[in-house]
Amino acid sequence: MYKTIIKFYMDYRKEEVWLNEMASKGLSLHTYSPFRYVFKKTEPGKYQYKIDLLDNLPSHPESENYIEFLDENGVELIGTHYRWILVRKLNDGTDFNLNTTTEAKMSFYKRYLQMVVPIWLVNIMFVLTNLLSFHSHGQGVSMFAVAVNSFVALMLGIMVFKVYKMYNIVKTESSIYE
Amino acid sequence: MPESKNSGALTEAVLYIMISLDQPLHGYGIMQKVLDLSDGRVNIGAGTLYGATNTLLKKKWIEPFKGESARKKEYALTELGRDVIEQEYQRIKEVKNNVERFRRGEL
Repeated sequence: MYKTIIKFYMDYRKEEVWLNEMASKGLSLHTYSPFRYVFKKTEPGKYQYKIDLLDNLPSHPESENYIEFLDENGVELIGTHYRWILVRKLNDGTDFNLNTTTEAKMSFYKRYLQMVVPIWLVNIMFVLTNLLSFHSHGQGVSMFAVAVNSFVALMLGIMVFKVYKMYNIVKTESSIYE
Repeated sequence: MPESKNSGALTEAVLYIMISLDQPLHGYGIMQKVLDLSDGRVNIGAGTLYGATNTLLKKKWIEPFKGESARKKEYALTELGRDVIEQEYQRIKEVKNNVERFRRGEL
């Protein structure tokens, strides 16, 4: 039995929690294409899910090496979205984390910020230039587009703030712990 | 051996990965063995292991090992890797001795 859900997550951690909750209820993510989650009925808690961010697109040789390494070691690729990958492994009762050292965690957060901050800034720029143009011309500006972009900019801003905070916590820890 | 001039400590993950390779293992075997050796305390993630093995291969502390399984890559310690572990052992012994002196109130 399959179940398809269309959903959009801004926060990859919430998405991860959701996928693991579904799996614990016996609905394991089977395939994924952007925003389209197809679940398959399995025994509850059969798999654990994780989301990782690559340095490059999944088709890049370096990413292919990494995905092959994961696969050889029991971590199966379920789907990709831009540089994001969704993976799972059979639940063996131990925690499932890909990046376990402070160094690996820091580099994950850095990759995230390097990817999202430019998109965030472009959104802010778009909103500001449109508002300025509206102010001086009073027309030719889609207020709907401005509203959508303001909303996206706000959501991205919240994520950037959250991830930056986590990055700083790990960074402080890294001066005393590995 | 230019590496031997580095007096810094190895990370715990790297040292555990290296000593787990006394006999050749594939990645999943390394993760399981380290978990086992540390009584479940050190759980190395596959992403972290991928980065660490690549660096260790580059430094020639470990090398690819042609095992029975053609599908899974296995890794083995090199002589250089064994030397690095020996130096790390000396460093840990020194630290241990000093902490013991601290506990006896000798510092």
